[in-house]
Amino acid sequence: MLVLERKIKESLMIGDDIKITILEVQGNSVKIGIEAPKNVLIYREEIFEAIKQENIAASGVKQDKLEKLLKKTGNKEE
Amino acid sequence: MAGLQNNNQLKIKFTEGLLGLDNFKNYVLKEVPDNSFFKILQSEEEEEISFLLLSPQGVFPQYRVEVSPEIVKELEGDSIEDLSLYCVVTLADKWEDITANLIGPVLINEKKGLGKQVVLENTEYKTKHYVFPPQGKVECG
Repeated sequence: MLVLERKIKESLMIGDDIKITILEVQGNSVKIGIEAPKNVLIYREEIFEAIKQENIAASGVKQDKLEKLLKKTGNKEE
Repeated sequence: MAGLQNNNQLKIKFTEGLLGLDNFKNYVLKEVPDNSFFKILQSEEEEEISFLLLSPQGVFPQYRVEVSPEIVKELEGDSIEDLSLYCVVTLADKWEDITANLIGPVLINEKKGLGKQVVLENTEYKTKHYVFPPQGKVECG
């Protein structure tokens, strides 16, 4: 891992179109500003990981569980 | 997923895959017979990979997702109306333990056959919300 030291209001560039600025440091939290093209996806790591885990848990729909659920619901909407 | 074959199938391409399963890009969206709450998203590449999707409006009427114009464009929509919103359901042994993922919904442009899982930012939503909360149990059970 590359480790750089920055002061408040200092930035660093990743490539030529992503800019990361240290905005505020308070205790053990850091406020970070990110300027990046709209197509660059930026997630908090823990949310990203939680969704990954949930997708894996959700994949592989089992027929028996599904049928049980469908029996419970049916077409109440229409 | 034998037993759920029917003719109401749409091919949907997820250019980035779903998070954690990004090897799988090509899916088929299937109707569930006699049930308009749910659809099945079945991988074309791997039979074992399938998801149950929930149309959230009925179960989570307050649920709103902000979709940027970039995402509409990426899914080749002209406006947000071209996209359908689904939540991925995690099944469980007991139906009251079934949850839906509200923080990582799936957007699908059914006309163009394109889909994307989005991650919501600055939201209270989580990966697990009960589809049948305890109040519902009294009513439905």
